[in-house]
Amino acid sequence: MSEEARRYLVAYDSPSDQRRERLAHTLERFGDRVQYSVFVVDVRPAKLVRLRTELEVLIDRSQDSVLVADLGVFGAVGRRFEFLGRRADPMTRGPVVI
Amino acid sequence: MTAPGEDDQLTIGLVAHHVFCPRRAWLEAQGEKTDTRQMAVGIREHQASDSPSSSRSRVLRALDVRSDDLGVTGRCDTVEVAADGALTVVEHKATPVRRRAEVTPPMRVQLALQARCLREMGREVWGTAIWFVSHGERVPVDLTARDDELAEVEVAATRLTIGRSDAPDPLEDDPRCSRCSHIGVCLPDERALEPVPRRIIVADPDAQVVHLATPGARASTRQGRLLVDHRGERLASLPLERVQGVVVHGNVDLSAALIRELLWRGLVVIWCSSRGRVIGWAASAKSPNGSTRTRQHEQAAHGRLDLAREFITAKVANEATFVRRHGAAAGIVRRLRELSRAATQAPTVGQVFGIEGDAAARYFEYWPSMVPEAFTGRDARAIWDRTRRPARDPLNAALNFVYGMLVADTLRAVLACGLDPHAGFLHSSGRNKPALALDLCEEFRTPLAESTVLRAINNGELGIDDFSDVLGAVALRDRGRKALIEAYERRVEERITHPVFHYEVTWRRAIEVQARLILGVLEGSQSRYVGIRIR
Repeated sequence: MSEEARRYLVAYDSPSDQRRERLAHTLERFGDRVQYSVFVVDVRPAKLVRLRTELEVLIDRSQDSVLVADLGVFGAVGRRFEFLGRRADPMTRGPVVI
Repeated sequence: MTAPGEDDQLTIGLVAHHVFCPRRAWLEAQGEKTDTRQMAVGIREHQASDSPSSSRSRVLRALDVRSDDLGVTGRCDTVEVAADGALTVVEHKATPVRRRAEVTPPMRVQLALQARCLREMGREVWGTAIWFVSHGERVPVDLTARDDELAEVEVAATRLTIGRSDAPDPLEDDPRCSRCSHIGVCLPDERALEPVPRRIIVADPDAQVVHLATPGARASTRQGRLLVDHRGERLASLPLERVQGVVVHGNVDLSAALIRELLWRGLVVIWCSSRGRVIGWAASAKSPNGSTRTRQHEQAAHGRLDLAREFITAKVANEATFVRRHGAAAGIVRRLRELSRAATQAPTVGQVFGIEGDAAARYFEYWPSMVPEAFTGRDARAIWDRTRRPARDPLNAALNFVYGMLVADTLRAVLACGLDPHAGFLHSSGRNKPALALDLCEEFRTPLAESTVLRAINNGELGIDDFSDVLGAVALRDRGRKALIEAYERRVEERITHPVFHYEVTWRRAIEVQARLILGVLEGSQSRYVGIRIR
C-alpha cells in the first residue's frame, strides 16, 4: 500500500453552508484549493484513505456529493494542468524554501 | 492466577496483530507508528456502514468492550442487536479487492475476543461475521470452543512478547511482510545485509521538509495550514499534511500554536543559526522504542568500537571515491583507501579519530583544485584549509552551512527511531553535542553535503556575490543561503539504489534506513552495521 504519491482532484457540493465549510477545512489540511469547491491533493494512497474517511464522516450522504478523481502518479501527470484565467497552482513537489 | 491489573490491559487489536506476527505487535507496543496504520484505524471510525443487516436489527457502532478476566479491551466496529436481544458482531475489514475475501486467523482471534468480552459483559452473542468493505461481501464466521482457547493462549503469548526487552525476530521470506503496515520500521529483509527482493517500500514520503529562511518572517498556523508572512506579505500557505518537518534558519519566528500543531503530529522542528549550526530542536513527547533507548545509553557508556569504526570506514571510503571521480591522482586515492581499511582495525575510538583526521587532511587538501579560486579566498589555493568557525572563505562558509542541514536530517532520523541524539558511539556524548546525530552524518558528508556544495558552485547556483565578508569572517547572504538549501534539497531527494539492499530510495530515506540499522544493532536484531558507500 505504500506506493507513489498520486494526484487527486477532490470536488464537493452541498446545500449546507456549514458542511461546505467543514469540507473545505479538512481539504485545506491535505491539499490546495484550485477553485471554490475544487481541491488538488497530492498524496500517497494510504493518506488518501485517511482523507476520505474524514470526508465521509462530515457529509450527509443523501444531500451532499464529493467527487474524488484519481489523476494518476504525480510525476506523469504534473504538467497536464492548464488554467484559463486566474491560476491557483497547488503546492510544489520540489524544494520548499521560504 | 490473578486477573491482570489496569496497566497490563491489552487491546484486542494488538493481540490480533500478534497472531499476524509477534514482531508487528512488539513494534506497535513500542510506540512505532506508521502512516499506513491509519488505514486500519480509519476504517474503524467509518460511521456510514453499507453492511446489509437484518431489517429488524438495531446497529451499534464503535462499541467499547472489555474482559477483566483476560485483561483485554477493544472496540467493535458494529454490533447488530436482534429483537430478542441476541448480538451479532460484525467486524469491518479493508482487504484490497485484488485479494480474496478470506477470514484469516487474526480475524478469528479478534472476533473470538470481542465475543468473549460481550459474554463477560452479560450479553448473549448469537453470531459473528466479517464485512469485507472493498468486496461488499459479508462472511459469517462460526466460532468454536477451539477458537476461544486459541484466543486465550494468544492473549497470554502477546503479554509475554511485549514484556520482552528485545524485539522478536522478523518473519523470513514471508509474503505477509509486503502487506504489513510496519514494513518500513521493521525492515525484515535488511537483517541479512543482503539485497532485498522487491518489496513495497516507501521510496519517499509524500510530504516535504519546509525550510524557513527569510529573516524576519513569521510562521503560524490556521485552518490546517502552515502560513508564512513577512512584513504584511503572505509568503506561503501549505497544507500541514504535506509537511514532513520544519527547519528554521536564522531569525524566523514560529507561533506557539504552530509548534504545538507540529509536535502533535509527531513532526520535528529544528532551529539552525544563519551559519548552519544546529541550535536546538523540538520533538513530540511520544518517542518509540523506549527499551532500546535504554540499551543505547548502556552501550554508549560502554562503547561500541564496531560502530565507531564503520562510521569512519564508510566516510573515508566515500572521500576516496569522490576525489577519484574528480580526477585526483592515484596516490591520494590509494592513501585514502588504505586509511579506510585501517579504520576497520583501529583499536580505540581515539585511533579511529586519528585516522579520520589524517584522511580529512589529505581529502581537503585536494578540494581547492575542484573549485574556482575565488571560493577559497584570495590566492589561497595553496594554503586553504578546512577551518570551521568562523569561516574565512566562501567554501568553508558553504560547507559549514550544508553540514548543518545534514545534521538536521540525521537528527530527525534518529528522533524518529526513538533513539537519543546525544548518546553516540564515535563522537563523545560528553561534549554536549548531539553525538549520535553527528555519528550518522559521517558516511553522508561527502555524498550529500560536500557534493551539494561542489555542484552548486560549479553549475553557477552559488556565486561569489552570494557571500559577504566582514573583517575576514565570511558568511552567506540570504539569496545564497536559499540557493544552497534548494541545492541540498534536490540532492537529498534524489533516488539511489541502496548499495546493500538494492532497493530504490531517496538519499533522505536512506538516512532513515541507516538510523534504523543502528537501532537494529542496538536492540540485537542486526548483527552489524554497514555504512553506505558510494560507487
